[in-house]
Amino acid sequence: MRITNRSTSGNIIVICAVVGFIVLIIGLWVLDIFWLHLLSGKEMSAAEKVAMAAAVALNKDDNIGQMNYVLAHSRELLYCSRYDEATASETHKSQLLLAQDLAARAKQVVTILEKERSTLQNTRMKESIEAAKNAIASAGSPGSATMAGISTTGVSLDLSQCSFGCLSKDGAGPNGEVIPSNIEPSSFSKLGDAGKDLEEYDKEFVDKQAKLYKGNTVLGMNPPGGGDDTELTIKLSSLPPCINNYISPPHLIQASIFNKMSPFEENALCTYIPTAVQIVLKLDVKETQSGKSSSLMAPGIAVTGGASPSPAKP
Amino acid sequence: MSIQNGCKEVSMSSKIARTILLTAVSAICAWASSSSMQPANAEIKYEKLVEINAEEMKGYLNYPNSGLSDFFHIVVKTGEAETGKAETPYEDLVACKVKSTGKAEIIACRRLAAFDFNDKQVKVKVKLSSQAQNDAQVRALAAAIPHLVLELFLKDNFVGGVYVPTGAYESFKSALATQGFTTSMKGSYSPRTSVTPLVLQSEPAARFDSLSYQPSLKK
Repeated sequence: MRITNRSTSGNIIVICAVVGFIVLIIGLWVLDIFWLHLLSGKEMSAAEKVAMAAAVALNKDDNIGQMNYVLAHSRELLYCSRYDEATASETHKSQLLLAQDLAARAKQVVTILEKERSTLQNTRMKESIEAAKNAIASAGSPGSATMAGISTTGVSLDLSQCSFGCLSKDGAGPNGEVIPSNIEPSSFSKLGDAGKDLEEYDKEFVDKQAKLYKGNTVLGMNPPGGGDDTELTIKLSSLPPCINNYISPPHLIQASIFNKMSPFEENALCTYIPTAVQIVLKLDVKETQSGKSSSLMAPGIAVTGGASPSPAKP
Repeated sequence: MSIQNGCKEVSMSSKIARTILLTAVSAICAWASSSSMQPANAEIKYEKLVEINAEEMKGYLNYPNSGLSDFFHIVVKTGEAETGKAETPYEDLVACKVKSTGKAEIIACRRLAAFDFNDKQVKVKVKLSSQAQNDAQVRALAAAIPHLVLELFLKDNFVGGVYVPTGAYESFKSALATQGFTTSMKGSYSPRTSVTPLVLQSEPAARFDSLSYQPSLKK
């Protein structure tokens, strides 16, 4: 009886040891899960911060809004100059030489500005990528660490899933119509009868609801007097406009309204200056026992700050 | 119908006659200037005032490798010369220096209204802002003057003078030369060779020069 009792007592010790071990394993597993959950939250928060940093860099000092303004109004300058040239040719021959020279200069200005737009685009895309890389360290993103059953490497950008883009209109979907530019259409009717024709022609470039030029659009040229300016390109970017002096701040957006334009790479081919970014951070996780590895992905999508009031607001 | 056509022809002939007259006046002005005579428009009674001033746009389009600098927002307003106040906005321009050419250019124009006057004696007054860098401001304003003068002429107005502050007179004369307005006379005047006259005057009155548009003499 005593022996039996001793035997039973021994079993309890073994059972306790086994149960204790199982509890420990489960505890460590729960701890790992909890730790991974914590890391995932930190990574998500870091991705949002990185996306915001990259988006802010895109429209630093509202350079995109300013470029949109001078581009659209260089077109108005060219139209006015062509109109003056046509008038001088018909009725004021003595002013024709000056009118022709000013029209030629206005055309040259449009060409110069397109080159500047391209420079600004490349500069801002490069700065946005740098801002994203710099932000990873300062955004409190999880570094490399080892726990009981898993180890992680530091967070990095998953470039294959990052991209430049812009904002789609609400409900338009990721590939739908983008939000307009920050530029009010020119009032060509103030030029006279020829201006009325131009204003009619301009309607196809105007967002009827917002009464602004459409975003990510090439403004067509239809100069008065039939001058050959059709080869010129004036590319306006989509950008949250300034409404009643309210400047839209940079903010996070849903994936459903992010309109992808190009990969997140320097000198990536992009027709217009992008105004939003999608960032995906990657955290590699390795199971110590099995050697299996996987990645924790965290996306962050942000749109840049909107346009400031136009310098020529009457 | 033939009466209407006749009227149009008469109107066209009067415009051509007026153009030739303006050209002749400018030629006489330029000759008078070169001969140190009093300008022909000394007694002009102005009816309309066109005022332009420039505000510096600090930090505008300032990004690495930018080919543009020294941005100015130029405001053009019109009014009655009698009151001396120009309060009706006409247009807003953006001027800047193009680094590749080193010259000031108008790069953007926003028309706010049409000139609501024709056949008037117009005074163009240039105001300088004390806040802005002077030379860059003068170059920006000088780049706007040819646009303005042309539009006034095309509305059959007579631009009696462009008045600039006395202290900046020489700077304006030099800046207008880069825009093609010089005192030098070369070749004969005819509607084909085209002469757009411009009388530059200082205010308070002390100096004047009769300039004309001669792009081949651009500095």
